[in-house]
Amino acid sequence: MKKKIVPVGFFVLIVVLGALILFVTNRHSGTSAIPFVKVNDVIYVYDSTGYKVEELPETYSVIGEVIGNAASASKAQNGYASGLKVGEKIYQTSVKTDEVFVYTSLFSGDGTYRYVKFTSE
Amino acid sequence: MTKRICSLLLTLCLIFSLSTFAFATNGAHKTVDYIAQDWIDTQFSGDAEVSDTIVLRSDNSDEVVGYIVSFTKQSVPAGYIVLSCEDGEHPIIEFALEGQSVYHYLEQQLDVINSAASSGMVSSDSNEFLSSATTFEENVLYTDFIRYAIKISNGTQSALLDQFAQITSCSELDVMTDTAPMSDTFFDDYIDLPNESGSKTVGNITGANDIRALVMGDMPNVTPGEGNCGPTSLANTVKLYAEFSLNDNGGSLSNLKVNDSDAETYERLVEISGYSCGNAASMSTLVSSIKSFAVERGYSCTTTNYLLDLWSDFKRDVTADKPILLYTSSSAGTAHAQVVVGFWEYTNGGKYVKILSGWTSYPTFLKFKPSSLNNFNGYCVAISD
Repeated sequence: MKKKIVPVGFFVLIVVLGALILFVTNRHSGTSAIPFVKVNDVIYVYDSTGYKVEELPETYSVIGEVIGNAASASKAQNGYASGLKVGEKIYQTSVKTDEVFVYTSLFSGDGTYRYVKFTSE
Repeated sequence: MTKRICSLLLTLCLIFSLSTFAFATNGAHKTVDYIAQDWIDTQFSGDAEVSDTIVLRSDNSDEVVGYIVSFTKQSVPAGYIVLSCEDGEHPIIEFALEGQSVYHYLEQQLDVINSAASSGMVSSDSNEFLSSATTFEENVLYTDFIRYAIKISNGTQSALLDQFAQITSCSELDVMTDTAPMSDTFFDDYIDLPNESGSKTVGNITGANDIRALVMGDMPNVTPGEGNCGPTSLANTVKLYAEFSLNDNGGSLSNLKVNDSDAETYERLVEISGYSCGNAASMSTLVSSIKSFAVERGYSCTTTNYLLDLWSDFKRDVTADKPILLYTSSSAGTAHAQVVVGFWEYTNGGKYVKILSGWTSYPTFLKFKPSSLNNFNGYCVAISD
């Protein structure tokens, strides 16, 4: 009886180990997420204060729109973004070029659109 | 007889487990067919197929730098993926869910170039062309596209950039953007503040609402927009233990930060994890890194990998005052590391984890295991003296 138990035990152990190795090693990385948009060769990142307004500040005007999603900021072309939807409008003022506003529902949770600040510094 | 059968079975199992390990650790980017088919199956429920694979090679060493895999759905072009062979980043760096691949348009452009070259309109000096292609210098892959296009035209045809632009009337960017109705569900369930109706149960670790969390872009030597969520998450975990009373033996771990500096702590964590600041990090590396860091600072650290990532796992450890490293990713390959510092549980069933995302200096929220994410893996981190 003992002679049968030992090999079966090894059998189960090895199958469990194989499955465990597969399970653990499958937990790996991907392209790191950070909301950004590239405009005129500048990367604007989601403002760390989470600044958002319902009305666009004065002097800001449309300078473009999101035209595609990019996985990596370093390879993004102008108009490409992460976290934003294609077609969302980008606004900027000539007196403060280190930030843009994007009219987006990003992080709203319920699809509400508002003007969200992205900064270059 | 029984012994022989058991031995045979054991041998087969050994071979199976070894091959499984080799498969899992072989670097996904080296298995183009597997990645492409897996991605297509995910996006199109198995009714699309690979139609073409282009190998991209470095112009200098002839090394393979990436692949463009196009696919069709019922014989109609259904998008493409661009796979990079660059170490340290997810293999899928670009994709579209409809239309022709970028290469298709490059071919069209190449036809225009060849036509112009035969009429004497463009330069035949490829080095002159490449050195003047400053628009593309920051975009290696796109430069490689052009190099590849030049290469398949027998290496003789090229154009000065301004001539190239004049001839095609648009840069390759303008062409590519026409083909990029891309989507990624990754950010869909990250929320500033949940707003569901009904009462809720709230749990927070000590310091969850008081910490001024570190932000990815504020860390040293970071290129704006690049992913450094891994080391930032570790630095936020250290900050929690260093500034708030999370120690099992009471009090905070005042010597945990390097020179009491968040920036120096972050830099040391980057050094230990072996990643440059611009790269995302794998969770297994992050977990071992914070253990090494804690020991280096004179403390002990244990981590618990949630096998099933149950809601009860997160609630239990938040209630026990333990921060949780959380890895999330979408089917498109976008991924993120963050720190769970609390939870909201509504009586109507809504469940949210409160997180230090690395995007803002204050905690925000993420739905618990939403359908927009295909990975939601927690690792409880306990540091003590």
